[in-house]
Parts: sequence; C-alpha cells; structure tokens
Amino acid sequence: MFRSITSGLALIGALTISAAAPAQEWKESPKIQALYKEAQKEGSVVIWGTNAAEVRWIPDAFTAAFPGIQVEILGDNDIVTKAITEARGGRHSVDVFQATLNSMIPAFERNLFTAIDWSMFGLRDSDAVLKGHVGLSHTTAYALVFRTDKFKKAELPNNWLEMADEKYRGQMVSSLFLLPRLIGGIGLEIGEQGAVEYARKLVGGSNLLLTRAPRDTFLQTGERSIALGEIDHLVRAWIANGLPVDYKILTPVITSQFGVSVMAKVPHPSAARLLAGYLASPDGRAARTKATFQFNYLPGSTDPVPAALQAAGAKIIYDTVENMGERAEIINRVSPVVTGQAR
Amino acid sequence: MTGRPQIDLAGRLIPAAAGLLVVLILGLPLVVLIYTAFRGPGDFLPFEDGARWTLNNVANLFDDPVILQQVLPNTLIFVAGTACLTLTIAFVLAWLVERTELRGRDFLFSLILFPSLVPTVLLAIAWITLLSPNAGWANLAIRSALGLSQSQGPFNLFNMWGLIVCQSLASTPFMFLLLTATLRTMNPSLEEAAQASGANFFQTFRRVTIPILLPGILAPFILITLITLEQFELPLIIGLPARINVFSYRIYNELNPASGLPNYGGAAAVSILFLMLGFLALLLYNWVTRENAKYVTVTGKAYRQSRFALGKWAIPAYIFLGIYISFAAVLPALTLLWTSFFGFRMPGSASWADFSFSAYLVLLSDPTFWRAALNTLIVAVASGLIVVLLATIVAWTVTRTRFFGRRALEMLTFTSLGIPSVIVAFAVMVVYLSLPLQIYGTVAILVLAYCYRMATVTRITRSSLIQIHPELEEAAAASGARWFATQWYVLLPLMMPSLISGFIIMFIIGVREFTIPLVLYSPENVVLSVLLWQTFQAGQPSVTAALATLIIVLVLPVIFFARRFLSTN
Repeated sequence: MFRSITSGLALIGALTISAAAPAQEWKESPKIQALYKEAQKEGSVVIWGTNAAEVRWIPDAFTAAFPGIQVEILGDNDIVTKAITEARGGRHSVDVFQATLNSMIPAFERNLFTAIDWSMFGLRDSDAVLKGHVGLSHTTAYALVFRTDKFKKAELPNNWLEMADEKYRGQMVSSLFLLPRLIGGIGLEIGEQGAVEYARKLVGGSNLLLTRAPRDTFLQTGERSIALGEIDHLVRAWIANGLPVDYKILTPVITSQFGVSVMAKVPHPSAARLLAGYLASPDGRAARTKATFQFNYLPGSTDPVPAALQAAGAKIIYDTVENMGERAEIINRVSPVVTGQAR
Repeated sequence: MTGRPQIDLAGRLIPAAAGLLVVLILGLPLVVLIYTAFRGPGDFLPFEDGARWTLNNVANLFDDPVILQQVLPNTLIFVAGTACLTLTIAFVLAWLVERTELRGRDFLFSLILFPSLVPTVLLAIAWITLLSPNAGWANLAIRSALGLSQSQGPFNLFNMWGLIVCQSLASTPFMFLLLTATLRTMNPSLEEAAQASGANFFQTFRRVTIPILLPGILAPFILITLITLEQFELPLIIGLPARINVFSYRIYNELNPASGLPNYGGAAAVSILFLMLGFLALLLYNWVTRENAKYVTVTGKAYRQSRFALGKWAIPAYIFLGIYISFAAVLPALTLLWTSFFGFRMPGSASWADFSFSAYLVLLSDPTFWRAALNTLIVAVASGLIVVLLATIVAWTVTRTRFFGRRALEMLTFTSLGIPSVIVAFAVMVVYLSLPLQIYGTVAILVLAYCYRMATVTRITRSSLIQIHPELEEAAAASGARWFATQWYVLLPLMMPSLISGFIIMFIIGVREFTIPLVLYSPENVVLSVLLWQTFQAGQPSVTAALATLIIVLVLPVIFFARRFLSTN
C-alpha cells in the first residue's frame, strides 16, 4: 500500500544528499580547463528557465564553481515560445535553455539547440538524450499541497482522480502552467479522453481557482486550502520558509524530467557549454539539491521520498523520450479545456 | 497681413520626414498584421521561408465555437458593463468636484487620479489581497464586524462582476478627467433659467443638465468603450482565474499558449476581428464628436460657473467619494505598503517582530531592479519626446499646410487610438522580427511600440495650434525669419504648455504600460511593470509590494506636478 511521506523526512533527505557531494574530477580535466579559459574571456552567459525558482540559485553556484563569469537569468513560463519567436526573427540572446523534456521538444524540432560532448562533464551516456542536444539535469514530481490547519494528511486521498470530488469544491488553487502538464502525465495512465474528462470535472465541478500567480500566496492568506499539482521541491522550500503547509505525493506519481541545452546560435559559446555541462554534471546536481531541495525520482534513487515511493510499489510515470509525444498531445488537448479556450 | 507665409525647403522636408516616420511607426505594423493573418502555417512568421498564403487562420476563427460563443460575448459584457459603470462613477465624481461646493476639491481631485498613474497590475495585486472571496482582508473584516458565520464573501473578485467593478475603478480617472473638462466649460445659464422658472434640482438636472451634456458624455463613453476593449491586465489577473476569456487574453494565449507553439497567424486573425470592432467604435466616436459642434456651450460671452450647495446630500456625497477613494487609492496603497513590511500577516495579527525592511533591501541590491528602473525611465522619456515631436509636426502639417496626404496622416494617427496594445505589441514584434534591424529584445523596440499612443498627444497639439492665430507666424515671415526660425522662436514657445502636458501624459503612460512590454520583453529591456509581474509570479509578495510602493513613490511627485501644471495651463 502506498505510504504518504512526511516533509520532515524530505528535508533531512535533502541535507543528506548535499553532504554527500560527488567527486569533481571532470572539472580538472584539460578540456574543461581550456573551455573555462575561453568562457572567462566571454565574461558572461545567459540562461532561461521555466520558473524563477529553477534558475535563481544558479548565478551563485556557478560563480562559486567557475569564478569570473557573470550569469544572467530569466525565469518565465513562456520561455519556449519566446525562444522560438526570437530565433525565427534571427535574434540570439540566450545561451543555455533549461526546461522539461516536454517543453524542449518543440525547440529541438526547430533546430534551436546544438549537440555537445556531455561526457566531458561527467555525464553517463544515458543522461544525454535527443541526439546529444539535451543533458538530463534533474527530476521533479507533482505534489498535492494542503494547509495543515485545514486538513490532516490521512484524510486526503491517495489518488489524483479523487481530487475532483465535490467535497473539495471551492478549496483548490492550481497553476495555469502546471495543471495541464500534471493531467498530461495522468493521461498516460488513463488515456486522452479520460484526461479531458478529468480536466472538465476539475475546472467545472470543483470551482478550481486557476492562476498564473504563485499559489503559495493563496495558501498563505487562506484564500485556498489546497494547491493541486505543485512541484515537490518548491513545496519543500515553502515549508522551510514557514508556510503552514504539508504535501502528499499522489498516485500515479507524475514526474517531470528536466534537461539543459546549449542554443544553436549563442552569444557566448564557451560559457554556454560550460554552464550547461555544469548544470547536468554531478556537481551541478548536488548544488541544485542543496539550494532547492530537489530529489532524484529516477529508479534506484536513494533520496528518501522517491526511495519510499519505489519501495511501496507506487505507480511512477516517468517523462521519457519515448512517451513525450503522447504526453504532449494530451497536454495540447487538455490545456484549452483548463483555460476555458475550448469546451 | 494676408496669405500664408512661404514654406522653404526645411519646411517641406521636415514634415515629409515626420510623416514618413509616422507611417513607419503606426502604419507598417498594421499592414504586416493583416498580412500575417493570411500567411501560414500559423506558427510561421509571415516572411519566414516556408510560409505561404492561406485563409485557414481566418476560417478557423469562424469555426471556433469558443470565439463566437464565449470570447466575443464575454468581451461585450465586460466592455459594456465597464463602460456603463465607469461612466456612472466618473460622472458623479466629476459633478461633485466641478459643480458643487464640496470641500477639499483640489485634494480629492488628486486622489481620484491615483489609479490612472500607477500600473494596473499593482492595483490588481492589492485588490486580490483585499477582496478575495475566502480570505480577502476586506471580506474578513466585514464578516468579523457583522458576526457572519459564512466562510466566503460578501465580496468575490473572481467573477464577471468583480472584473467589471475592478476595471471600472481603474478606468474612472480617465473618464473623470474628460467629464470635468466638459462640466467646467458648460454655460450654466440654461440651468439658472430652469431654476428661475421653478424647477427643482432634480428636474433641472434631468431636463436641462443631462441633455446639454449628452454629446460631451457620449464621446468619452465611446472612448472608454474602446479603451476597455483593449484592457489586458485585469482580465489576466482577475478574469482568468474565473475563466472569463476576453479577446485580449485570447490573443496573448495564441502567442504564449500553455503548451505547444505560438500561433502568429491565429493571433493576427483574432486581432483583425477585434480591430474591426475597435474601428466601428472609432467611427462612432468621430461621428459623435463632429456632432458636438451643434451643442456649443463655450462662447465668447462671459459667464461664471455656479456651484450647487449640497445641503443634506453632503454626507452621502462624502460617503460615495470615500468608498471610491478607499478602494481605488487609499486601501490599495496601504495594503501594498503593509505587505512590503509585514508580508501577508494581517493587520491586527502582526507584531513588530514581523516588521522587516528586507524586501526593500533585496530589491535595491538586485541589479535587475536598477536596470528595469533605468529602462522604464528611458522608454517613458524617449517615447514621450518622440511622440511630442512627431505629433507637433503632424498637427502643424494638418492645420497650417495643404500638403498632399495630410488628411490621411491625421486619420492614421487618430486610428491608432482604436488599436489595442496587445495587438500593437504583436504587430511591432512581427515587424521587427522580420526586418534586419536587430532591435527585437532591446529598449528601442519598446520606445517604438509606445509611440502607438500618439493619438492622445496629436489631439492636444492640434487643439493648441488651432488656438494660435497664424498671423504671428506671418509676422515673423514678413520680418524675414526663415521657416525653421519661425517655428523655433515663435510657435514653439507659444505651444510649450501643451507640449509639456502631452509629454507628462506620455511619461505616465510609459511608466504604467504593461501589456506591450510583457509581449516584447527580454532580460535586456525589462521594465518596472514587467518586473512587478515577474516578482508576483515568482511568489515574492513582500518584494512585489516593495516594488509597487517604490513605483508609487516615483509617480507621486509627477501627479502633484502634473496637477499643478495642468491646472495652471
């Protein structure tokens, strides 16, 4: 039986991982040192990510690892369309792109990325996908977040589909950006039509508050008591900041696989490769875990929450190159329903 | 003195160059937008290799039941509701300030203008904090004061009514300014005659005041309809959670879908549909303002504006003013100030231990804030200067010459009034992505896009020129002054108050503009209003509130300067 995981355990896990940082041999290799020298000459590098929290930690961590290179960041849900539009217009202002595999496919298909040698940054072959254009960096899982003064963890369901129940009407908030992606993952389990029906139930029957604004503010003020489909590591950051909430990973466990890419035409080619490689490298992953409470959800993970989920036999749906097309189609079908742009 | 002064080469070249610039800035994006609507596939830019002619974008529009059954009706309800409510609130406020013996009118005037001077995003954030149905501070306070056991309300921001009320509060100052001008110039002799004939206040108001003012009310009403049609911020922040889709959001959504690729062709097709609505309203506005000549109330005959004593109506009048000013100015400002120091801790439950300056320190130590502040200043000042310069030359060309195409130029500048900013941003984006100028993503593209507001200033400069008799220029020319010297030393000083007014208006528009930079922004050209939205989205309520407070502090001196300057000129 699936067991819910406490956030306290999660925080301990994050700290354990940060203490066990992997070796840094790759940084000392002549190839990397030469690349670093070239990158220093370029002086700066620009990275775009899908969320401010995903990129906010990067300048400090990267500068600590490779001093002398200034990192400019942009965190925004709309980076994919923005990057495609800019590239179409012949403007190339971004060096490194960080997003979910799902979001990266349209950009990859339009030749926006370039392949690099990921092995020099200590990555295994299996961590370089899409013909070497994307280096896998980290995984996240979707979580159900609730105010601890309103709900007990045991009272809440273990399955996403039960959240469409009438009893949660008027109590939930969700992200316009994340919800279609969560339902896209659930759709891999219940099928496209099932996903569309689920979306209709949620937005129609549950009076779900759908917003582009941060959901933690709605939880903090008490405007809503449940946030449906949040990114797990953001929730752990909220808890660490004193927000009176806890979270639960429901089944099927929906994960998102993130990756980094170097843009095909970049203003800072060496710094771009160095930053992208660093982010996907063991050092980059460790720094990310330390700064953002992230866990690795891939099979064999020793992080406490993923390990407990795997031990409990929970159904985990991974974001893979093979299922991305299907998931993207479901997201495209569900998204207009969620936003009210289709019936 | 007879005849027009001779116009030398400079007097021909400068207006021609200005005319060309106006066509490039205002006309070209419009043409490219229409072109884009007939190019496909939808995710291709119109001039891109692989793009071809197609009717699919337009056909899809009429095939889409959501556009016809949801977006269009929602937009019409939103626009009609907002225009009517705005007119009602603004008329009462304008009448109280201009036609009654209300105390503190000058101070109240400035407070009423507050929402028009700060970014609407900022007001939206404050209203959400105050009026969210479950935990809005105003709702909690009312439920507590009245001992209500319900867990929601009495106010709910997230529905069509909430959207209409908020948009009306935000739009009222603009309508108020237009109506105060109308009321101020109204000859009261007819009202006095009615009262001398025994009519009471309400009879006079219904049978004399309203009919006289009707044309002067109708024109701003149509204008506010046009302006509401293009609103984006509140539909995005308040309408979207309630799944109220209006056309401006639809266009934005085509360009930035929650998933998949941008649909340029689809966005252009939707834009054209609503441009047609805008043009219809514009034609109506033109027709109404032309009819205004039949109702001249400002004559050469001297009169003194009389003011009504409010008597027993003073208390309801102050209550009305109090409610408006509280929700439109004071409460949003205080909410933001409080949140910047205490986060979301409610007044009453917070202690001094919760007080912190950290949000301001975070903000002031962030280079992005300084870049955004500098960009905002550059864009607001540069677009203001360019617009004032071009608008002055266009107005001179139209009123002082018989140059070929001057009427078309005037029409073009005026037409820009009917083009929603989300369409402006999109059109400008397509143009400058297609031209090899490399200004997409820079501050320059924002400056060019903001120049779309030229219509506002053209009308000011044109009115100013009409009031200056050409005999002054003729005298200068007869004394041997060349064209440029005549304009520089004679006309420009006389027009200066109007030019400064135009610049102030453009500066304020530049500081609060949100839609255009949201579509066109990059890390390089980020402005304060977009930074406000980004910090809000990133879950930094205190930093967002601190930024909003700093914007208010930046804009407040401008309000008082503008009020003093505009009232003395």
